[in-house]
Amino acid sequence: METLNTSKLTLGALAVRLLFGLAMSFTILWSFGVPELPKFQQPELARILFWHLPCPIIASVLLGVGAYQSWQYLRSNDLKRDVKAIAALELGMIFSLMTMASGIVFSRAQWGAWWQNDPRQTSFLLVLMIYFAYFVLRGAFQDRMRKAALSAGYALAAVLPAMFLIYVFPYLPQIKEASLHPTGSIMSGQIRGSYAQALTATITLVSLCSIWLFRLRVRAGELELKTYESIGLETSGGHSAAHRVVRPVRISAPGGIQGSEGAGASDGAGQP
Amino acid sequence: MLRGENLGKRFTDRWIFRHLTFDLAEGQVLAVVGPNGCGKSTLLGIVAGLLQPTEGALHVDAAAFGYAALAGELYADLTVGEHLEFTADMRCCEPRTDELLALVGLSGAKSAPARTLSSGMRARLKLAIAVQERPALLILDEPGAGLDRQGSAVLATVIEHQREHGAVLLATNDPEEMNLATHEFDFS
Amino acid sequence: MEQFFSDDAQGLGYGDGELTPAQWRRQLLAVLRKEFRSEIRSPHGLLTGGLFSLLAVVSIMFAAYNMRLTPTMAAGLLWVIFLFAGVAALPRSFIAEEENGTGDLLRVTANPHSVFWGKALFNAALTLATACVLTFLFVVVMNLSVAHLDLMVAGLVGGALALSGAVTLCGALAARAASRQALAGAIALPLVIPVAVWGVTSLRVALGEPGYDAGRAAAIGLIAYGIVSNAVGPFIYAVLWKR
Repeated sequence: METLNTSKLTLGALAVRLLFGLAMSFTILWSFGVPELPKFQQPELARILFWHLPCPIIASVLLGVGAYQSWQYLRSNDLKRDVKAIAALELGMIFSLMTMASGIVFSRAQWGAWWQNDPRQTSFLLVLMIYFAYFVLRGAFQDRMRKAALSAGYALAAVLPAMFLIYVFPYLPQIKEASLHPTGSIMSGQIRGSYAQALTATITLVSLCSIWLFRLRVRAGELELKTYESIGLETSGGHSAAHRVVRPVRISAPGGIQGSEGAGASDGAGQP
Repeated sequence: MLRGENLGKRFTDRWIFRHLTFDLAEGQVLAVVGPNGCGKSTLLGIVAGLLQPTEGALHVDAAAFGYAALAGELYADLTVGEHLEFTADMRCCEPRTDELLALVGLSGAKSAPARTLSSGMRARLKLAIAVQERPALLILDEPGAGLDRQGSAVLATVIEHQREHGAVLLATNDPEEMNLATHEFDFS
Repeated sequence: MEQFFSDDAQGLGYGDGELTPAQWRRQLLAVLRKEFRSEIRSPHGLLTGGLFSLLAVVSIMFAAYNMRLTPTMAAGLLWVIFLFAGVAALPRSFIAEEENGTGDLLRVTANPHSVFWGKALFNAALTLATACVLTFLFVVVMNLSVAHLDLMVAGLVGGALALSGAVTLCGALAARAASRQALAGAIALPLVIPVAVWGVTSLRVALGEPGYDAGRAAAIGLIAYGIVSNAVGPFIYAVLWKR
């Protein structure tokens, strides 16, 4: 089993990890070093933007990945696809929680209340509810195959409302007018200069981090799957039907079976 | 007509059965016998397409099949006749309502809601539904439970008719039903 | 010899094959007829959804005895009632099949697409009937005025379609779980909130709020959502119904 024992990592893998760690550390420090934005109520907290903005982007990408893997599972019945779907949706939920948490802090800092009943806040909370519902559905079944199939169906059914809540609802004219939350900041070029550079760095690094976490989770899930598939090899011995036979019987008058001919092991073929 | 090769079924971490191989040809009645919980109904469910096996292969040469199970229920609010019309519509075949009700001895109960039927009458109605489409393969899961002597005679007639143009896969622990079999598959 | 096999052996899988249009229609009408007959003879859906909705409306009337509701408030309250009544009553179409043990009878005789369509359309009809009665009652008792009847009708029809598609599917997904009724409601509600967004918008404009274009767009959105959810639902159901 692979471990994180550094002595077993190749030089290249170690270098990548070190580089990533350095880049993340630098970006964190950099995010504290960018100038404050004067139009914010608490200008120093404007920097939460760097860590808030990547989260919903990655959460929605992971939702799409989870839906895709779910569809692939339904096509192939391959539990490895289910493992990938779970990994994507678990991580997506974590990133959604981080979106909510950072958004709540920002809401308090900028608008004076932890929860503004802002349509954007509420719509993302509903996306989180969809994630929760997925896991509630999974938890309701014991059988692995049934659990995987039904939750895959739900993940596909959830794509439409989730996409509506993330990509359509916030951009409806009446919602844009009523919401305090800015929309389209990146696409409209509102973020410029050092903020744009820092944001690019954080989006890139958080994306790489999410890919790494996804791969770790998939690996853990596949190991768990191997354990699941091996269960029963030990316990099936007593229940194995390997020596079942089809024993022809003579039909007699009511009162009982005459007895079987050719009793004993056969190759399982039933012959009259 | 029906061959199962190395079939296995698992629920959570428990194997119900594994490495199951059997054969059923036209004109045969294969009785699957064994103690409660050994997997008879599970096997019949797999053959009927209600369950997916965890492993193995199923080879089928039957254009249509009929399925009747002790555990299966009927629509409480539909009448006997409406049941047969409904299943005929779902199968897109002739309902043959009067003919089937005469076969199973329920002609007098055509307008009776299923909730008013006794367990024996329900068993007969399930039998009628199973043979409605003149299936090549008849799958019966403890069909005789609750049947009286007359009902048992009906079951024997149905199975005998079925042998003339197809085969029967029968799960049972009833000695009388086992007498109707040409072959036996013992789970125990 | 036909072969259903290998590590995902399928069994006979009767009813999953291609249907001609005439066969599809016959099956669909058979399911609809069965659902209507069962509902008329044992009105569970009407009692659950209809009575719940009626009690909710009466409770609001009781609580708001001296208030004049604005169109937005009225639309919001009505749609909350529709949502909760819908998730309480609509999943029963599939849940009842498993609870009563008739699921296998359907699975061995029917095609999943026609089963889903039949149940979804029945649920849509039930929802629409309940919604129309409640909306009429609410408007009359709360002294509201209907400024745009066309929007109101379009919104209710679209909303019924949209609710039924999503909630029927959730009922099918949860039908074989232990606490199926509660589970169906829990997983359905997040999926139908977008329906409520559009529903409230179209209804409040229909009740006199300005912004006809927004109301019309919302009604169109509802109808589109209803069409998509009812179109996609049978395919998801077909893949899952024997698992």
